[in-house]
Amino acid sequence: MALLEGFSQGLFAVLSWPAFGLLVVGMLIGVIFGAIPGLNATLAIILLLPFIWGMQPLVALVLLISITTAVNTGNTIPAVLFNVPGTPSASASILDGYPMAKNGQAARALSAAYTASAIGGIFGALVLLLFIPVLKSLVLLFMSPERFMMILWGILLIGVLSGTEKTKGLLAGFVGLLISLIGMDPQSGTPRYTFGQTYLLEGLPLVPLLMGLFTLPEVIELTTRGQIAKIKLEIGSEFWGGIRDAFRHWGLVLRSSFLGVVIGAIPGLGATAAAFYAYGHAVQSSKNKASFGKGNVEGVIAPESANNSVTGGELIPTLAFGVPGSANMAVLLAAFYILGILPGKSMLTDNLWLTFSFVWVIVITNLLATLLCLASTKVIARIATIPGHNLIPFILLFVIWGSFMAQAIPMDMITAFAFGILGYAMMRLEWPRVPVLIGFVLGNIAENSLYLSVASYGLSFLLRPVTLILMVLTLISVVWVWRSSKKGQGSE
Amino acid sequence: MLKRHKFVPFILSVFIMGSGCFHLGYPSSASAQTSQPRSPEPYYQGKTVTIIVPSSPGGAIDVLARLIIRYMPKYIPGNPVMIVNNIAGGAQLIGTRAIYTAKPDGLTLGHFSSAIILSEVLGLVKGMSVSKFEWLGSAEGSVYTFFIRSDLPYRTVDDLRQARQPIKVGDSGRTTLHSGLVMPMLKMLLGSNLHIIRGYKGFADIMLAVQGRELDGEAAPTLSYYSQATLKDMYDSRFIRPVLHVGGRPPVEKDEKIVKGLPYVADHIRKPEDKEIYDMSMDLIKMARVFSAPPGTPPAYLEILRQALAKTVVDPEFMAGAAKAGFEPYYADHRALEKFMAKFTKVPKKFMDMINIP
Repeated sequence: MALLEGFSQGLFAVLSWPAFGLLVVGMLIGVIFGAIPGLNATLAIILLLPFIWGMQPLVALVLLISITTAVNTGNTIPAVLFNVPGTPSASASILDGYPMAKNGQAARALSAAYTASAIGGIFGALVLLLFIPVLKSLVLLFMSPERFMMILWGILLIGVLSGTEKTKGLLAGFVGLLISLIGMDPQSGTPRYTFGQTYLLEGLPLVPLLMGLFTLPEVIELTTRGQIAKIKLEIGSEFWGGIRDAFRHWGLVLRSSFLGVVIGAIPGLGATAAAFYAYGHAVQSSKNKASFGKGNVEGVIAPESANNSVTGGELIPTLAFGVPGSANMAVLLAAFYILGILPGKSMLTDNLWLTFSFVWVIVITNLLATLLCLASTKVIARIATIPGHNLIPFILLFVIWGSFMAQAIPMDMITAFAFGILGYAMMRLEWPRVPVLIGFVLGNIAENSLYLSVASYGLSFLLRPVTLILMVLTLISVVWVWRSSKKGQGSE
Repeated sequence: MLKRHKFVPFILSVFIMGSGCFHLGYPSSASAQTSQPRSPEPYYQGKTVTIIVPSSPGGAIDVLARLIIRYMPKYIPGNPVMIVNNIAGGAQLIGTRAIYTAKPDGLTLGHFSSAIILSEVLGLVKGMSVSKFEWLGSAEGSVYTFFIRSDLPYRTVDDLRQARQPIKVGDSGRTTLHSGLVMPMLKMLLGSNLHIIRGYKGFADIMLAVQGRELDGEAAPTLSYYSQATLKDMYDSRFIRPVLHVGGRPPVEKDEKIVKGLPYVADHIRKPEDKEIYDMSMDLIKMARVFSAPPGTPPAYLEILRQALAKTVVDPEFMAGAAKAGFEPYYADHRALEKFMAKFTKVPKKFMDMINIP
């Protein structure tokens, strides 16, 4: 009864004035901050913090959560059109989104991504809703050993995402793992591979690495290519085709959304990892593996479903334990404290209606952001036909600005260019670049969670029930990849 | 020759870059000019004072700085605009160095953890000397406790010392007060049988690990029993119980509720040299978060800023905002800070051994 009451109370609270007005404002800010590389939800929330002191908690949090939600819809635009992820969580969307734009299918990629984002986002909110009574038990299932097994599963995706070039892929993944080890050794607390540079003490930052590895090589290629899409666009039919694609692959959308929620609920993994897990799953489960990386719509749908459903998942540890799973959630948590709201038990008892209102904010924002983006797709998709000499300065600006804005450290721009050289060399020599990124994103947390597991439980960490289940799933996954790879070789 | 329209993207790019710097709170070139104090009163009129926070947004240091900038301008003649600029990275050293090397014009301040001293002692600080900062004061300090899971049979100091199995505690970095100082102190000076497990991302993650029974106990500031969701739930449900009052600033009513009747660590440290190290450590905890200005900031500006900070910390509106956000203001002036920093110019070997404990 209390649940039903909280559910309806939450809805009415969100639809009341001025909460609903601020939801719309937050949605607009979120889409814009997602679409412009270098801006992100964290920055938007920081800029708004001075305005929320003294605001009603509900109104302020509706504004902030709608921003966090809408960013993951808006960030697809530069990912598809320029190969520049609007925020790191759109990194996996560039892998097939940009090739689709090059094939003249920008409108299809965008409309498929938005539709998948809406479904994923709503799915994430519903999971948050369903699991409210058992939020705490769910998060406590994933301690260091379980986290390690989840990450190990992700690292094995390197094999999946390397296509036919397994050896090159594994080597590239190994390079990514090595790069992730730069920084303070979490066990001894001493600097590792930093060469005395303070800049490297916390390791290399993700955004400049991403910009360098993926975007700069495409900019160089664009100088010779002339424009992104070399063929005539069929925007109208492509637009509706993209929406149909998302519904045609409903199973993939739901599975990816589920992955997004689970990974979001595990502190430390985050939306970028979730998008890659979903992408890896799409490759693994697709009948048309060879077309991934060349413009397969499934490669857009899966990460977009996952990175939107992450918001619902990430709110689980934030609300239940006050443990922020990402930078966005860390700033959101600070806003909770500023507003005098204490996460934890009260969010599931006295403030249950407020938790329900967050669910409604995610649902409504996802719908509105998707409608807004869909409405603008036909215009935005034409960017793919703009001559390269007009686009390149903007893309370079996104790279430089985006790299700098993440931490406001000039060295980050140099990092971006250094990885740009590496990325271009890898592109020319036909080495897969995705494994480097996966190794980098997961390497450090894999090492850390393995250490914490052994230090706390010894080798018996392998015998914990959830760890065992995850281990079996990982083994099944490995066998699946091995068999698919064998079949592929056989058919060749 | 290039056509004119080809310059448009470039010009727009430069414009957007400029606006990006503005949003980050970088002082404009006009406001960053160093000028000598002529008439202190109008100096801050129409100017922007930037507080650099060397950590990511959202943490306690950041939130406290954002609270301070709401109320401090009214106590500075000329009522300047105050903003916070987060320069994270490099274990807080990049931002701290940005404060150190900023123009000493009274327009750039810093707010960081007193644990910066630990970084310096550990040899991580390069190109600056922490003792040369101009100190404004500290607005907040902590009272530390040590708690343990209630299902474990340890109640007294002797129990902690004689525990058969090492008591597993988490560590989130050697350059934090909580992990780099309190835990090693309890192990080395008190002789507790602690197994410090390094590698946790932060205090909240450690609390989660205690609730998931991955860890046995932890040191925690008293205010976290009210404000950190997991710790509050564990304390309210008696899943954990505090067993030691470690020390820090003088306890207020909220602290007393937690530490009342607990063994006080100071009473169990007997050797004079250990006592000295304990006192040094407690000074760091008393002045947990410090405000500073770059070396060479003119005394006239420092005086204005110090007085403004002292008045802000007792401002009723600030205190109400601090209480809502889970802070307990505790003011220590610049003299106290200077005196305390001076102790670290020559660090006792035992202190070095303590913070380097494996």
